[in-house]
Amino acid sequence: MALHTKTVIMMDHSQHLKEPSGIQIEIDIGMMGGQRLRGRKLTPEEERFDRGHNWNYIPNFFPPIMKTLWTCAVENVIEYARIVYDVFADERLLRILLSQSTQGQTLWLNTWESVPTNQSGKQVGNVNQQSIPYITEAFANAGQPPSQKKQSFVGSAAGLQTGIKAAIDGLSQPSPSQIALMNSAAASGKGPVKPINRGRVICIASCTTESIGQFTAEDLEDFLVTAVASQNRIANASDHLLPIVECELVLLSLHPLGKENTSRVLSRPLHDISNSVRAEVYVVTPDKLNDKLLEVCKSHHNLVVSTVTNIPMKEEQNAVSSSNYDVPLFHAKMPSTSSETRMLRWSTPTAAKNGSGLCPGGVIQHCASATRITPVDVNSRPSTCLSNFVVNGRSVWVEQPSKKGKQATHVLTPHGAEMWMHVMESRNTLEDLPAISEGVGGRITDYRITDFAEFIKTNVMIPYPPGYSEHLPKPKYEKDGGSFVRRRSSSIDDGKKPVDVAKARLLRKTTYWPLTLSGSVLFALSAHIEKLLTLVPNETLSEMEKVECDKVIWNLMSLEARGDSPPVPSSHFRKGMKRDDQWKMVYGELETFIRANLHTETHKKVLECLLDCRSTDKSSSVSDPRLQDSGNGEKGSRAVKEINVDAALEEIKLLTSTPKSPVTDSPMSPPMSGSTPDVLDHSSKKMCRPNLLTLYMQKTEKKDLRTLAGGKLYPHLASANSEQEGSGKSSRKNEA
Amino acid sequence: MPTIIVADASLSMLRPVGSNYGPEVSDDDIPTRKTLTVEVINQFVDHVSAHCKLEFVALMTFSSAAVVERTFTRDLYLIRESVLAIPTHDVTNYDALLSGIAKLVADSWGTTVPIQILLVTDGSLGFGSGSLRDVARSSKKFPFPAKMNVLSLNDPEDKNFAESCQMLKKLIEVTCEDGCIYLPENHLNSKECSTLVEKICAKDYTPYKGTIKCGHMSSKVTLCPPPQPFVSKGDEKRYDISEQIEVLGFILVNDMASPPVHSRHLLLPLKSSDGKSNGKGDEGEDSDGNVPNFCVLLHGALKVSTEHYCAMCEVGTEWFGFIHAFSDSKKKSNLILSILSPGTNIIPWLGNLQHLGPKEDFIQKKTVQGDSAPVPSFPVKHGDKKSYIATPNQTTVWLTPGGLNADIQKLLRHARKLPEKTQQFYKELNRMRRWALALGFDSVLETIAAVLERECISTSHPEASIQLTYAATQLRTQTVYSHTITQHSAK
Repeated sequence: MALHTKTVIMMDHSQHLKEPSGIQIEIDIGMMGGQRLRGRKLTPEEERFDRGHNWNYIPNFFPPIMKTLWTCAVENVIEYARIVYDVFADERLLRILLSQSTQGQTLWLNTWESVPTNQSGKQVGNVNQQSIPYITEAFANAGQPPSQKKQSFVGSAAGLQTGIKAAIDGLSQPSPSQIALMNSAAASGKGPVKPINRGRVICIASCTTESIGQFTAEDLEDFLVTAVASQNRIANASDHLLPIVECELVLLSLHPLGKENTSRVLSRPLHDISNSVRAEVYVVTPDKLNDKLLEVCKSHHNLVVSTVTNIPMKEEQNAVSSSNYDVPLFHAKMPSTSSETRMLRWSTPTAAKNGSGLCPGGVIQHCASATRITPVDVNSRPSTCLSNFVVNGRSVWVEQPSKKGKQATHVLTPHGAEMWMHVMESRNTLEDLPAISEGVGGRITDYRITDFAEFIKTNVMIPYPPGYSEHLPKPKYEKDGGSFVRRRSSSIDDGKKPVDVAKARLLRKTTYWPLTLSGSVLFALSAHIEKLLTLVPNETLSEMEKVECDKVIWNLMSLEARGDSPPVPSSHFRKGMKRDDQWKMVYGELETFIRANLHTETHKKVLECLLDCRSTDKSSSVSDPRLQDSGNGEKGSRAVKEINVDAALEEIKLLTSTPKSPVTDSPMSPPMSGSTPDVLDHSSKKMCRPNLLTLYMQKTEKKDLRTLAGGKLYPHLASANSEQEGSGKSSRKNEA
Repeated sequence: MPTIIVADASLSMLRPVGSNYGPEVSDDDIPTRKTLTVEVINQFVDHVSAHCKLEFVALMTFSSAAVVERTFTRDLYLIRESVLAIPTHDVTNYDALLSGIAKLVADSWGTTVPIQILLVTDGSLGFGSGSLRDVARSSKKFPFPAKMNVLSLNDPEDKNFAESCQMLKKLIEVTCEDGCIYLPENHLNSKECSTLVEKICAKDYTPYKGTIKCGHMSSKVTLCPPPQPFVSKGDEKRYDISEQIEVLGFILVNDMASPPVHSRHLLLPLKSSDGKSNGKGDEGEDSDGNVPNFCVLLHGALKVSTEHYCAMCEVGTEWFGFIHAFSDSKKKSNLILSILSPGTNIIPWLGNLQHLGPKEDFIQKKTVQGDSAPVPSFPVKHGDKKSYIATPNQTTVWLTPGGLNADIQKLLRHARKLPEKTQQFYKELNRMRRWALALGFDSVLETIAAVLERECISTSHPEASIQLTYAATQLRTQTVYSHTITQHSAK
């Protein structure tokens, strides 16, 4: 926490500030509403209208008015807050404290919190406490300082002291980000951690003999050191208050015009009082208050003013002609900028399209630093024109004149409804670099670029709402294939950060992702099996989606059954490769793909479907052994049965709807009943698979997937399977 | 990052390193500090040309004046050539050195590129103005980010050894805030110096070797220039770049909106030495170009999309970056990793980077829960409406009489167009009234009321005169801030 993150502005809210400022304000209602003020001549039409109107009969004069010291103080404090909130948003916090010096009472207008709270800490309304509207209303509700009869006797500094004490107490209260730090430290079991706490106090009072008596600036400084020390003792003993390790006080003693010599204090620049406390004192009159407080604001928040010059703007009344204006802007000092005021020349405004001015042609620009900006004079016409232009989505390049000539290095640009200025690097080391095509993998031309571009689109990130995971209700887990299937690993809802959800998602989506077109038959087929390719990598599969996947598999089967080659360019297969083997390759890769994505039980059922199809394709038997086996399984047996019945039914439908019998149609294939060694070998291998799967499904609960995949158990399983298969067949016959 | 090698060219560099050579060694064979300088610079350049091919290096000498012997170049042969011709002049003047560096950098890179400075000196302090003592006290920070390593060819037995170290340390602190002094441990000789160069190279010139990962896809990569660890100035917290750069997802370039970054690096795929990372089997030396690589795929896809994307990555603990396609000329295109400053709340319009999550998962979850909340999008908003945004209400500023009078005149303009401008009239009226109440500026309320009454006389429209009279009365009587004066309606 730096000094600038927390500032308390303490204002004397007593009759001493009710003094008139001594500056008269002439009321100018204008002849036509403002032209005189803007120094523009009237157009002929306006003059005619002017003469026609009966101006001359009515007195055009209103007595001048005068602000009080209080009014001057309030509007300057709000201006200070405006700049801080505009440039730093919620990063820097202000609290305003009113101290009624004669009664020894204090009143906080707001807290460090952004949500509005009442005294018992409950949220009331929805106006951000750290905002101008909230502060303005709070000032209005506090009202003017009470008018009291001027006390004839010498005043005492008790009120000022009470105010300082309360301000120090306010600084030791933690800000929301400090609370978050403390909470996260507590949550991680580090025990109580107190963040480093610093802050400033700006005190606006009128320090005369009447108000503070014989009190001096030195007395005040001593009091401040004592107050900080005693507050730190309290804070160290408390579990929620924070000790103040560094503190700065700015005392502005405000006096009516010409009465600054009544001040009990003298101006003094920033100086150390103790090794953790510093103070500065300024005696000001209302006409200088604005300059002084801006100066304080600039030094507190390290602000500089840059002026955008030569902005072409249409004249207010005469839209044909345009002249050039300058708009000075406050912004945080950036590492690459010098501290003095800079001129930036208007250069290239760009279209309103999504900040494309900032990334022309979709290319990231090399930005060195960026800061929010706010107009110095927020209501001037050039300022409002510029802010509207930028906030409505335009980016403007501006040039910083330098010895090397003009260079458009700065960009004014909106981010949401905020104005920012980016400073781009004039040159960097990324020049004349080797192309990626010159390096590893650079000569390959058949990358699945369009597929990956699609992958990018489906893995776009968004800013999740803060505290997203807490808002979600606990998911209901259902045992058997409900719509909300339990995920294998810890799910989003168990307090995972969104960024971890993103990582998990990418892992899931890339379990099987060949980089090149030639590296995969499966993705060359994507026109035919797109549904399956997109659904299977999902975290969950609904029953409907599962059926979609099954359909895709059956469609492939029917293609094969029709005797077609896999509908992919022949370059994917070795020359002279048999059609059977081509299909084998396709199914092999499909199996690898699904196996890589066994996220849920339903996913496994898709795999079963494929394996079932493969086994039944070559032999008449449907997966009866599976039924038995899965009956022995501990989990999900009911579901598996259902699915198999489903699958079988669907399959029968499919087969019957195919006009040609799958086996006889293929001239290369042996007759259905005939079992050449080749087919036998093939089918028995295939038939082993479902059983292998079932066995491993039974064990998945305990065993790691990988240990099973490469195991030497195969021969053993094969023999076991053939037995089961036999019994399966018989039971099937019995059923039939 | 570009490196400036600075060689001390003062006369004292010609002193032989005497202490540990016996009488049997002839004077000509005893190396001088200058010969050591040439040795260490050559050794350093050898290292850079072998391991950091894309580094820019410049060579500078200083004595009473600083001379750029060779400006920034990647052709390190040119540097070697210049090293052979390092001259020897007269006194040591650090003032000349610092302004020479500042000028060279300003001319070549401006103020944004971080620079490494390698100063090779014998540690002599110089005298008077421009001496190390003087400069270490009075000089300022460089206007660009810089790191200074000092290789001090100072024999620990020299009598100014301690002071020289202290002053050089101060010089680093004052001008760069970052850097180290490398000193011979025992005696000043060629072997010790070589060890020092090795140390410098190991610390700051080691090429990065890591892996980029996107789910199960991955590739070995290197980053040029090698990324540097980040030490936060506030709390001295050190952040190290991870060896694994993990892609988290993708963000539109326009949403990313060219944020300020900590450093930028060329991301180059390396061949996977074990052939395992891609599961693509072994590859021969010559066939590097023919082994499919994830980076090339990523680059192609980032470039081909009609909407331009970049890949958000995690580069360390609470440290993020993004990868985007870049080309400085039309022909050569490559991948750049831009590393943000460490932390999770670095770019306000992206929000907390740990709260970035997949859009599709969010939508899916919402659908499952029947949640109708909108899908959040960039930019992330902070704080409240800014003062320069005029809707729904213009910010009021009465710091000058002009501001107040402009508002009064604006109100009058609406007043003269009553009843057509009734809405606008009351909106302005309420805005001014509220502001006056907040400031405790009662006298202005009376003035506005009087102005409206005067306008009432000159108006000819009966409705207008009713509204003006009503408004004036309300201004004088309603003192509650939250109250809104609304149009008077005859009941």
